[in-house]
Amino acid sequence: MLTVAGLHVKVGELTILRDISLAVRPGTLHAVMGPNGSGKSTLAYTIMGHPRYTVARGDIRLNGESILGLSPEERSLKGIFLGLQEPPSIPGLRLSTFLLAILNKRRGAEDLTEVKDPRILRKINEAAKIVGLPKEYLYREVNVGFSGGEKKRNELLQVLLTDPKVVILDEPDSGMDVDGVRKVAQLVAELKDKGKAVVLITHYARIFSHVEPDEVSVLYKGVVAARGGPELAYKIEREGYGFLTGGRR
Amino acid sequence: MSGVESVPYQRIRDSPTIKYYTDWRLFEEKRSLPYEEYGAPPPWTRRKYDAVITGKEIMVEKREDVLVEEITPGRRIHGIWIKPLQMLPSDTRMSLIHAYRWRAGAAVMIPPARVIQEPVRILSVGGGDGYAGHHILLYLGRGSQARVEIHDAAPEEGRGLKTLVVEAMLEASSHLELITMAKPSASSLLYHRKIIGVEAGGRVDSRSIVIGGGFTHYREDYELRDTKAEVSADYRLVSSGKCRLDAISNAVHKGSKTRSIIKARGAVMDEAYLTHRGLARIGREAVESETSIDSLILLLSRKAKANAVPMLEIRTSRVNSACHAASVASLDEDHLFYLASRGLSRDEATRLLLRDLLETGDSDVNMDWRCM
Ligand SMILES: Nc1ncnc2c1ncn2[C@@H]1O[C@H](COP(=O)(O)OP(=O)(O)OP(=O)(O)O)[C@@H](O)[C@H]1O
Ligand SMILES: [Mg+2]
Repeated sequence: MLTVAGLHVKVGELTILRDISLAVRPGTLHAVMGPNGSGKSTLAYTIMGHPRYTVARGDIRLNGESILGLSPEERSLKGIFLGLQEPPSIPGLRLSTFLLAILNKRRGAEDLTEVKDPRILRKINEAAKIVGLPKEYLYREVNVGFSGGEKKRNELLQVLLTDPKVVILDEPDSGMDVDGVRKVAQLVAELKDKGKAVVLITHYARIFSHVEPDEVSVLYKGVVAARGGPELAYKIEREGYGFLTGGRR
Repeated sequence: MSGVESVPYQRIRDSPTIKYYTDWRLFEEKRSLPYEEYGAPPPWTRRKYDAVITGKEIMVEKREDVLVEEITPGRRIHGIWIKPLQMLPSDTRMSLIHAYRWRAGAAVMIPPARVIQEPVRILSVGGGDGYAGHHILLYLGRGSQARVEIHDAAPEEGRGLKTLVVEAMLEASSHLELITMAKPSASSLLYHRKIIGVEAGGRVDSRSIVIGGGFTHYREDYELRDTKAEVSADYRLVSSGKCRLDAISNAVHKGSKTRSIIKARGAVMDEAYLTHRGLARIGREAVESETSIDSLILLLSRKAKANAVPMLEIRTSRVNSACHAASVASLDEDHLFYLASRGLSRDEATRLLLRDLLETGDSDVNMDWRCM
């Protein structure tokens, strides 16, 4: 269970999030929506522990324990996964090496590039197939020359491989083709079924026709401006965000 | 060494830009160091070598399939097929200094049409406490094939200067696989130069792994002399601590339908410095030639410095393809966050990157560099 309680977040002197609270239980999907610049990615980064964002007040807890003192690495190893809105390219590092290292790290292996068990390679290949990333991409440099949608697929591939407890996906559906969106929805539904706590940041309600959110939070200028069920997402799709300000956006 | 003073360390035409990427003052300071008698090989040099050149000494193991011989300056052996220094141009001050001062060397001759199975391995150690100048000649007869591995090493705590010049001559339709692993010590200076001439239909596949050095000037000149001569040169360059490394690849196309492929991957850490310059010059007669230069250097720390400089000089209007790409990329906060968010620390991420960068697809070489 992921709990965010009364969170204030700053970048330097600038306050970006104010008094954000939300709770995501295992096996549920929490959708976060909101206009551009409302603070959705900031929230995601802060949960993962990006050093640029400082928590001025409030707490983030995983199963009741505060994770504020943990580094991003430690949060990752504790089972939090953040799929980025814009994953960076890492020239020089092969995707297969990277994936192998992520898996080996979790097994506590000393040499992060060893292949002790050939099944590990099969697992990587199968996951790539599920998310629709061609096998050849495994031998390319991480995200270098990948299209927007391919980068998102690579993030999903890593969700499958690392089997986290809390999955935060920042706009996994933008840049995806129609089949891609359906694939994201299907994966999110499976994650829910497997008892993961899922946070899905999105601009589009279209994904919810495949998988229903249990709760929807709408961020606006750094605060939670509305909260409700799936109907809130459809209302936003129809009317936009005007209702948050009485039409004065 | 009269005449040396009038020759510059670098000619403008040697470099894509007028800027000096090598700090020649350092070389000037050490150019007159006394000869060193012996240099202790560092632990990474652990192969069985056909020739070991150290300080002013050389030891050669006799082989059945290849002629490996000692050479000394002023004494021409096998003058019919090759003359030492016939290719080294006395164009820069360091090549002249080398020509005057080198004392120990080896010649490797592959007879025409012969295909050598077992690689020829040469170890050169120098730059410990004085000056060491080594010279290697490679001759591949028409239609022959061989793999030659050169380990260019310095004693571990070395503070001296070493010059190593390799001259290679490839007759028509011969094929040379050339592996160079160079690791001077963190305070020694290295002037490493190769001059390689390739005749019609000949081919060089060269791979270099070059790590650090107080200052390393690592330069390869390929001359594609006749039709369909080819070179593919791949560089893996690493500079860390306070090391400085300037690597240069020049491909001069003279024959028609010649091809050069230059690829460099580098990583620079701490306060180190790394440059890769790739120059392809396609002459008027070199019609229907192809060239590509691809160089990428990763900056792994804020204080590290790097340049990737490609240049094409084309004098014919009929080129099949000519492309170049060069960049210096850095691992910034966002890269590190990304890796950390997947459970990898900065150190682990750096080690992974280096591993991929140096991975050569050649298991022997991979084993060697892991020890470097
Ligand atoms: N590092 C930063 N420095 C300064 N301002 C920042 C920084 N990061 C975020 N902000 C600001 O915080 C606000 C929220 O940004 P954030 O990226 O969280 O929005 P978002 O809701 O994810 O938007 P989008 O839908 O466009 O992805 C924006 O006004 C943004 O400019
Ligand atoms: Mg965002």
